[in-house]
Amino acid sequence: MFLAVLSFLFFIITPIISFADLKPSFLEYEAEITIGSWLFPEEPLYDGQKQNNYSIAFEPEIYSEWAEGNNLVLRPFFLFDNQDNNRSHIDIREALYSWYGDDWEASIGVGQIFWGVTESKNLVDIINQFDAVYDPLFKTKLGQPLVNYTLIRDTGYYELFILPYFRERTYPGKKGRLRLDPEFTKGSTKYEGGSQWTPEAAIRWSNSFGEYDFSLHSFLGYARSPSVDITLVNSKIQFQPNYQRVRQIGGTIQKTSNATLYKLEWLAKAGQKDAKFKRGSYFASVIGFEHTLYKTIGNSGDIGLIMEYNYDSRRSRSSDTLQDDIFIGGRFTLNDSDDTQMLVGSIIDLDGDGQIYQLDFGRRLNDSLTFGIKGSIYQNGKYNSNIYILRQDSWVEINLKQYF
Amino acid sequence: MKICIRFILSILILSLSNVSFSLAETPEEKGLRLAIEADLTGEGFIDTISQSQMTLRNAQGEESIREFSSKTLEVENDGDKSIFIFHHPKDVKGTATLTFTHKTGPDDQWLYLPALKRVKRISSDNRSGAFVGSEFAYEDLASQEVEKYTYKWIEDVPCPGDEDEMCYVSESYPVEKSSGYTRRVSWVDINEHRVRKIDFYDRKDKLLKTLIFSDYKQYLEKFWTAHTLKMVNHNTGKETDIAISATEYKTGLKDADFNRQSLKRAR
Repeated sequence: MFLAVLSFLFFIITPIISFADLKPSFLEYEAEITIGSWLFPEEPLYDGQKQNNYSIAFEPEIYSEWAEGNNLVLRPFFLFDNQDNNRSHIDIREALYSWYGDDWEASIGVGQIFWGVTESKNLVDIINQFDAVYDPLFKTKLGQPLVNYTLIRDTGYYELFILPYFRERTYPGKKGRLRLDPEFTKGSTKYEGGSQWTPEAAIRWSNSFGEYDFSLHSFLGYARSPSVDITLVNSKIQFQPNYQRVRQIGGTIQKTSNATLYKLEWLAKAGQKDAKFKRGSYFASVIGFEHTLYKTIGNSGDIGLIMEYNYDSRRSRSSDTLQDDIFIGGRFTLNDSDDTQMLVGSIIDLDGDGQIYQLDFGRRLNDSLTFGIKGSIYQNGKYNSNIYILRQDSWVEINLKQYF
Repeated sequence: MKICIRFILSILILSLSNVSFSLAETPEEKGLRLAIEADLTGEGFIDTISQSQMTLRNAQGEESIREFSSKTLEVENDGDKSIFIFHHPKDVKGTATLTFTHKTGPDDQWLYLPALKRVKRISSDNRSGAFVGSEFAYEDLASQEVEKYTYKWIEDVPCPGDEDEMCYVSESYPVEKSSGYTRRVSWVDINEHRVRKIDFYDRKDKLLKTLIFSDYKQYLEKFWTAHTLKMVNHNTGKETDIAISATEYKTGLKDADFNRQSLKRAR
């Protein structure tokens, strides 16, 4: 799959480079190395799983401009994990050539697109697949091959995306934590409608009116989360990810009034199979607010209070863990010279299907070194629910990131 | 003759009332007039680009450095549009903000987070908050619109640190409730309307910070720009210096350089 992406890149980047047979007018290199220890205080539950993971990630970036109005960014990603071969992987986060005028921008290559407004989950972010094996908090995305055209008008921003290639979600292998038992069988992934090369398309509109920001989108392509096929091979159970073609419309609204942000993300989707293998249409939304109490920690530290409700009309048949859940969180921003920040959150299922507690802490150690702690606790999941499956897998990650 | 006397009388009354009018200019009216005059000297810059280095120093003398550049576009009949881009330290490199300042009401502001590729609409209510952990609040660095304050002239004195020049001392009171100050006291030279010093008084009307402007240079034979700003916090003993290394006026920036799409491209 990686080779396929590489070849795709080669085909689009090579003509551009040779076309732009010029010395770049601006060239910049930088890189990040992240050393992480991923610790699981509880014993592994499933056959083959190891206790802790240690990893090193390398992410260089090259940025260049040839003339006013065009640029190229290249950002590969390399992860080496000492335990799980599936976790060790190479990705191209970005390899994007863009050119633009006053009221338009076009880009081709591999990119990252963010559409969301809420904090607990971003329902509307359909362009990129998640790098779930690297970041179990679902904030890190895999690069997505795309062609994009954006028009800027007084009536808003109009975007068109053509996505020629679908990225499969990354999953832990036999030795990894945070997985089903047994783990997904390698190479067993099914794509409804043929292959990963079945094209996808999306359109989007967004604009601001005073204190309101709106967006609407429509998408035709693969669902980013798979349904799980259960098969018997040699009288052993196997799990296989199965990606369905879906049609989706969705949108976001944010009202920014003084210290309070009111947020909504919603979507209506047809074509995806639910946890009971039934295909159908459903509606999902995240609605909530973030209120900031300025200067409540010392002279300059802020506390943000976040509350969001996650809804999915499929309820217990949803494969999403957050389908009838309240997220309550606190964002602590010290505003100090080390940029100390912490986000703590709890996700409480209203049907009594367990709780998740999350932590994301970060601060700067010096001009080119940062320190972070992340973690999740999974508890009280109902039998066979997503949280139940992870009941021994509560984790904490400690990382150091060096910038070059 | 009668008409003539009436004519002379009326002229006399008119001129007298004129005299009394200028004599009766209240300190508030004079403060506002000076603020408008100062604002006019900065009008017509069209656009500007500058590179800055910020040095944060705590009470023990430990320093940390921030580098950023900014682009500003003058907007007719409303506040300026601006983009701030961070270059250093490296973990915040590429982080940028887009601000549409309004003469009245809250400003519109978006934050770009390059790691997530996320453009986030943020509240401009945090005007009193610390800018990247420095002693400057967001409101100290925001585009200074006349309408955002009320004014009062206090006295004319020799300029602080420059006894040869005369300065007017004027107080300004923020209109927005979310400001961190009850008042600012400014020393501004009478000749060129260059701000030399500002004292900031906190919500309890206690002297909180002092800002000193120096290294003024004139651009396009009109616009005076201070290249060194020094802020001292009297509560904490912390200091922040801003050194503006390069400034350019009338660079040809367009409205199209100040939208959410260009914010994502900002480097």
